[in-house]
Amino acid sequence: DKTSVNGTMRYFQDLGLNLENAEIFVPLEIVQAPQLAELSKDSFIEGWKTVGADTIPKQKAYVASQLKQLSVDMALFKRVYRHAFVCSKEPNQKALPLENALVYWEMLFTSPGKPWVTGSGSTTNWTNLWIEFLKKKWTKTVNKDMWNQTFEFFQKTMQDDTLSFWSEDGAWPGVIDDFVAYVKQKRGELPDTMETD
Amino acid sequence: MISGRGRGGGKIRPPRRGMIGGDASDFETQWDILCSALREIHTKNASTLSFEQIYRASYKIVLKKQGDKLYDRVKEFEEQWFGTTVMPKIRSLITPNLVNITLGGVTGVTANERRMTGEEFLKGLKVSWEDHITTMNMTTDVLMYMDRVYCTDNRKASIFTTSMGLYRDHILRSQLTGSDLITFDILNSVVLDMISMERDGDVINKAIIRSCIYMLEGLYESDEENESEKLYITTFEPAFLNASREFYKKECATLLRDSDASTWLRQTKRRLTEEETRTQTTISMLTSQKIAKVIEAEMISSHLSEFLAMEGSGIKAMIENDRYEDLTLLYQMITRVDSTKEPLKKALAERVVDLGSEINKTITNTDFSNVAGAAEDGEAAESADKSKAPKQQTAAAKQTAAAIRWVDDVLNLKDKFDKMWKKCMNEDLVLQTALTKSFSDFINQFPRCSEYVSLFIDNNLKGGIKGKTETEIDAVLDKATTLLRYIQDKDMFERYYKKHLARRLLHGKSESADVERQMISRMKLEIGNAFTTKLEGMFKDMTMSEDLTSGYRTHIQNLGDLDRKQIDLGINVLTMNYWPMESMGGSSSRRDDGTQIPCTWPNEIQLLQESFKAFYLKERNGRKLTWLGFLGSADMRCSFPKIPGKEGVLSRERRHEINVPTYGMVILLLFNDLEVGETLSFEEIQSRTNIPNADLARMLHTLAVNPKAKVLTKDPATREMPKPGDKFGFNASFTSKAVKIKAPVMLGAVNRVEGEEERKDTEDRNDEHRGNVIDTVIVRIMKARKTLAHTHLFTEVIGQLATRFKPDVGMMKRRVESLIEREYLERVEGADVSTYAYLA
Repeated sequence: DKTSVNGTMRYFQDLGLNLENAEIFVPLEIVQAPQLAELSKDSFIEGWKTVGADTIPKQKAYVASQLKQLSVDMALFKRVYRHAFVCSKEPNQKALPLENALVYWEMLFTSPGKPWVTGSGSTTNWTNLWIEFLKKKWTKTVNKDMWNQTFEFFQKTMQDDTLSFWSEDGAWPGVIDDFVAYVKQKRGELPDTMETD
Repeated sequence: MISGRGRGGGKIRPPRRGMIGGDASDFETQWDILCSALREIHTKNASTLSFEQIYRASYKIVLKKQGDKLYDRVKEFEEQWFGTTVMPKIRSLITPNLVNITLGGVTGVTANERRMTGEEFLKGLKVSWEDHITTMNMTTDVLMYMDRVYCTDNRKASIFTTSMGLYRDHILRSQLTGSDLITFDILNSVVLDMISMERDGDVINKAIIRSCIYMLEGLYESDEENESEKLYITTFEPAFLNASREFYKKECATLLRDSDASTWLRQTKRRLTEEETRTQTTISMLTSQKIAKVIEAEMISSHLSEFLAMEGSGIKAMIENDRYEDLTLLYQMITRVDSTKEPLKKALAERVVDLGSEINKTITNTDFSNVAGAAEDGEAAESADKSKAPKQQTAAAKQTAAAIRWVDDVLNLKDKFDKMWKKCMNEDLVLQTALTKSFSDFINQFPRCSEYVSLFIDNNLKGGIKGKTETEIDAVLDKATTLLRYIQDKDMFERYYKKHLARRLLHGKSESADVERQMISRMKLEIGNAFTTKLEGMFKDMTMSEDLTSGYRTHIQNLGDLDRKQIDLGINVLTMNYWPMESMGGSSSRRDDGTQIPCTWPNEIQLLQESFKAFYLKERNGRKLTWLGFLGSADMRCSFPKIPGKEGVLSRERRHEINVPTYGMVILLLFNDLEVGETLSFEEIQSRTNIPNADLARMLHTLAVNPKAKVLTKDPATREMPKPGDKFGFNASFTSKAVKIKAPVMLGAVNRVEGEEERKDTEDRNDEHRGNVIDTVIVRIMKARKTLAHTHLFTEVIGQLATRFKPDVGMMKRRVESLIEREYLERVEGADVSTYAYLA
């Protein structure tokens, strides 16, 4: 009922996918794969049936069309983003190791995913800031709430990169609060109270 | 006061007769009679007149429907009289000086002169008015029939009223020759000038002014005589209020420039009384409130903040120097102008916080120097061991004294403000609320307030209340309760109170069980049941333990097994949940998971323990007893043999009863089995007792280094802290003057201020506990509400915890995140505001 690692990889290559970027997460979401390199038969059939693609060429075409939409259709991107967490953690774990999460974020937040950059001429590269911040200040794993809230935060920043939507009375997880402080300090909006390294 | 007469009353109407037809000559005849009579009346010769004759004349005229003519003639007569006789007299009293004063130029004339001419003028006016009233009363009498019939039928004002109007128009409003002024202007100016003289301290003729004011109160703008149109109100009062406003504006500016706040208060108070008296004696009560408002506006409100801020006399100085009179006045003044008393509230609050922060600062500074000193001593002074222990003690004692002083200082400050509040502020509730908040603010700014307040209570319950009367004790408890009310972090307080109470109870340091209970019932009232159940449990344990001890003693006696060397056992059985085990010491004998490392008890003790356990469990099946070696103490009888070849004390056998901590007993019993001259190494003692190294070293220091109970020898015989490798033996040559000796305990038995590390432990434990409490509260709320917006949830959590502590928002957020991770909660997707849902 399950595919092997090699089988999965070969199948993705057959679909013409680049396994090094966000492309891989698109079919994984369609077939609701429980694991990165493991497809389950039931959800595989169910997934393709729903979109009406029963042959490899059809599936290839469908994936290609979805890929084009990925950075435009936010609902689609959100589904893909969220499923990325589900299939990339160990089945019996509740959280992702930080280093893995950093890789996936980088994959998802660059083309053909939605690049997390704002400002004319892409002056703020949030993906870099986020990764840099976590590498410096975050030592724990990444749980589902943090993963999903990061997406919410990503959406908010895409609309308003001045961060005026943020308030300390808000419900953001602590890690986002800290990140906001980190960004504001970098921008010189906050007095430099932390150690500078 | 004279008012219009001839109005009202029943109407007497004559029968109507057809024959009446007026003819002019008849009218003139009758009018002549009347006219000459009026002249007599006005020249005060009325005594010769016949009332009946005059009355008949007016009666006839009115009867012949010539009332209108008569009415007009009387008016004309009055007008003429005013013009020819009254006004000239008054005019003659209006000197050029008076005109000048009215026009605003007063130079060159002394106050006295002004007063003289003014008084003359007022007198003249008064006389003219009184004459007018008298004559008009008589005129009304003789013209009664006209008033009753003609005026009533034609809705005309009575002749009296009309003549009053004539006085107003022809006397008061008569224009003076050669100027725009009218008599009224002169009147106002003279009266105001006199009042101003009186304000400057001169004596004036109040009665004469009062008479003229009466006149103004009796005259109206129109013949309708509306109460609100009294000339006093329409003309005099505004002028008076304006002049007063100017005057007080100036006076306040002068005070602000030249005087201090105290003078200002007194002067304002004086002025208020003065003006009130003035309305009673000189002008009219009608003005009483209005003039008070003027003073309030000009003297109080306008420069209030400047006076309050005055260096040396403003509110700061008043509070500092307990200037109760000033403060009372200030309170009265501010209450007059502002029912919220905002300026006073603010000033008081600022003072409280300032003075309170000063107390905090002083203590914090003292603390730091001491702690640092003590820590350095402790580390550096291994070799100078002798001085170390006492020094540490004194540092701790000093800190504890400082803690008590902090509480005392806070209480003194509280007393000071309470006294002020009672004495000066009429126990004002608004101000009380403000004061309470300020006290709470600065007390909670002080991180150790909970600990210090508990130490304060500890200090009192340990002996501070010794020899005090019930009332005095009540006062102490009252103070403690007051402070407790201010403390925000009740959970921290509870933690410390339990810790301190435990020590008091276990070391028998509590002065009075009764007072302890009183304190607890006060806390119960103040904070609630949940807070005190554990404390009460601790007391229950103590009582129960007494019963157990005596019960066990009887039980042993009944066994009759008298051969055995009997150990008398006094026991405290403590319920785990009630007692703050983690802060009762013995931390070095606890494993990471919190369970005790049992010490290896000597055989005799084990037998005793078994025997007690059997006794205890007979009626309490299923309970588990753990023996805590780090608590309690033992009395031991030791005998020291005579030493051959020695003189004096050493040549005799010496018996001593030594009180040592339980661990001490465990160690000393090992030496019973030793041969003379044999020693035990530190390691041997450790392995045979299982006492943790730190405790063991401390205990051996007491028994082998400290001279007071040096029943063991140490090799090497230095004053250093015992350490592995040292050897210990029985000190046969121990001497002491006392038969009963209490081995000094280095640390642990005395409640004192926590060191930095200990403090951090306590805070960590408390935070951990708070985290659990917050979890519980969040889950409880969410379970009831199912979904709730972030802000609502937080508000509710803060509200529910308000009586226990003020939760930190960061901590609450972390708890929520953790609950999401543990799948108690989830975030609601796509909600407008951040919302959580409860996962059942």
